Amino acid sequence: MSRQDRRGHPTNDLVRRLADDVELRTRRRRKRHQRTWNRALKAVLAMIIVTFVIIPTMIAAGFLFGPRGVEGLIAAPLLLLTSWGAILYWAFGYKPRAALRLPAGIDVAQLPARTDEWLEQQRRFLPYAAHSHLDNIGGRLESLSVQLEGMRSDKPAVNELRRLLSEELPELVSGYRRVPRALQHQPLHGGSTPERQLLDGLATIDVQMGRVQEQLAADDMHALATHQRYLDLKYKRDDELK
Amino acid sequence: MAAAPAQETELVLTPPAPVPPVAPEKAAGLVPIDAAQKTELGTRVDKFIGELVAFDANSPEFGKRSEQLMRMGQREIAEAAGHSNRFLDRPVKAMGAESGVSTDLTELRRTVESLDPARHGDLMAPKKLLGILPFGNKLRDYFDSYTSAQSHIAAILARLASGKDELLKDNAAIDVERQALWAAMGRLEQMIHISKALDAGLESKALELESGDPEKAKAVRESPLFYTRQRLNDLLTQMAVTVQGYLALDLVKKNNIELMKGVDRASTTTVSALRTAVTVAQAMTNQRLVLGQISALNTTTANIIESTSELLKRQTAEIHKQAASSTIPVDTLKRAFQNIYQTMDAIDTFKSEALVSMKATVDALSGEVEKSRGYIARAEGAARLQPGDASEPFKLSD
Repeated sequence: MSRQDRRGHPTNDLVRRLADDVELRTRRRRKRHQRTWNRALKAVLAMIIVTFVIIPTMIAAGFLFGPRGVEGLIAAPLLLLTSWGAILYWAFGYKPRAALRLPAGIDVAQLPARTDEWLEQQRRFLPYAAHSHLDNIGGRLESLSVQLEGMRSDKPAVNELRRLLSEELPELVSGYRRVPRALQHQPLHGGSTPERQLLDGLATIDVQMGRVQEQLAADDMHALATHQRYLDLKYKRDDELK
Repeated sequence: MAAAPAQETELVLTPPAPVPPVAPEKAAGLVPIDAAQKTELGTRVDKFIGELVAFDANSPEFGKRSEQLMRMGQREIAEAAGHSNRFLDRPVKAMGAESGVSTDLTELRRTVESLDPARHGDLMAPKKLLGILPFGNKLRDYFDSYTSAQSHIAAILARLASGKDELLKDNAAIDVERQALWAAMGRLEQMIHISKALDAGLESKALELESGDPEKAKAVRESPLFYTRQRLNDLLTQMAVTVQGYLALDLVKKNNIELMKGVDRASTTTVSALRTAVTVAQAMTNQRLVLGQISALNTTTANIIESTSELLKRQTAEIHKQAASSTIPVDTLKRAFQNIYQTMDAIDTFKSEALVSMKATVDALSGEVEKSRGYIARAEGAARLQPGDASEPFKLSD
């Protein structure tokens, strides 16, 4: 079997899709880890700076205003420990109330990256079942950032994407977050639960984003197909064309 | 009399017939659906009708299902309409103002006319200063004019070759577009099949219910059946436009192919005439006419156009034979020029005829597209008014 045959085989397609899926999730997880690491690195850096500022300042103060005896001896490590604690809390403990909405008026080229960031902040407010949808949407946002580079913003597909990312997605997520935790699993009028509605909504947005992505790529795909056909028409002889 | 140098089969460029308007009721069934698919769609329709009738006619669920029918095929129609917006400007563009190829052909004709031996009077007559004193050689001067014209002709021929590439690109784009349209038509066809099955199924269901539950029979007729018929109508209209567009694209493509044939032939006959001139010059004045640029071009074009290369090969031998044997080689040259004119006249006739059939096609198509736009606007309006549940009962897999 040639390589091309193998690629077209349904089982191989499935395997490839699974592999892509795993790859995406791994990448997203790595990105999250990266973010944690970055935060840790920043905290350590801040602690070192603070240490090197506080100790010389206190020594200098001792020289300027005269030694403070035991008080000074206790105050120095106390001040150091307090500032370390504050830094660590700022880095890992304190979670700002993630904004319910994206700030308005973001440039469309920036929109996917900003939405991705915003969506990551929402992750801990959303049920575990939604995480795979978030991963999918995050993956699409990553490739959309690349796709939108240098694209005219007056295309209908671009406008649709803007509406989807800056209005409809935040509306869904914030709508869910506004429902009190205790009611999130309670069916509405005997219909579906808010959690189910969130999941369905995310799935729909995921699919719609895929469609928009296809629309955005359509021109390029069309151009490529046309060029290939042109090469065929120009250089292939009649018997090869058939 | 021996055969003329470039006398080959007469060039006939036939413009394709205009595309007639396609009646909506005849639009369906042009794209085949395979039997397995038909069965699958049929099962889905039966299931839908079964579920619909099971609900109470006044329940919200019954209303919801009926509304779903209102939106049936909306995506397929929008998709096909998106294509038709794109393809409508193609025949218009093809018809539009002088394309690069036409200007180049006109210019080529003008340049060639200036070289035509028929326009230079009697080339054999001795040249006389002030009409009295013999001075120089008319024939020699005439052949010298080739040397100065050659770079101009070579440039025009090169432009014609790239113009032909443009036409090829146009055809490649049409091929791709037609492929997309074919797929869109396939999906429309499936939706039409579903609508027809629904129409028939709902109608017979209503008849069945007539005696037992007249209320429900009325409800079935008033909303689901009504919506289905409306959508079926829209789908058929869109299908008609799409089919017509598909055929119109084929027309543009055929026109381009004919025009390319014409360009090929014009280039070949021109090059051939110039080569004849070289041979004739050699035979009559013993003058070595060096047309370097033309020979260079000759090899490149001949490599690309296979027919040209063969034609030229055959002609070269003939020209040599005739020029050497013929008592009046200038006639051979005149005939070579005649060939160029014939080709160009054939292209002109083709273009004016093609324009008529293209215009008829565009007129028919524009009218239909206008109609289908009305339907789409209506469908979109309906969708805006009723945001509700956007799920589609008959979603086709992409």
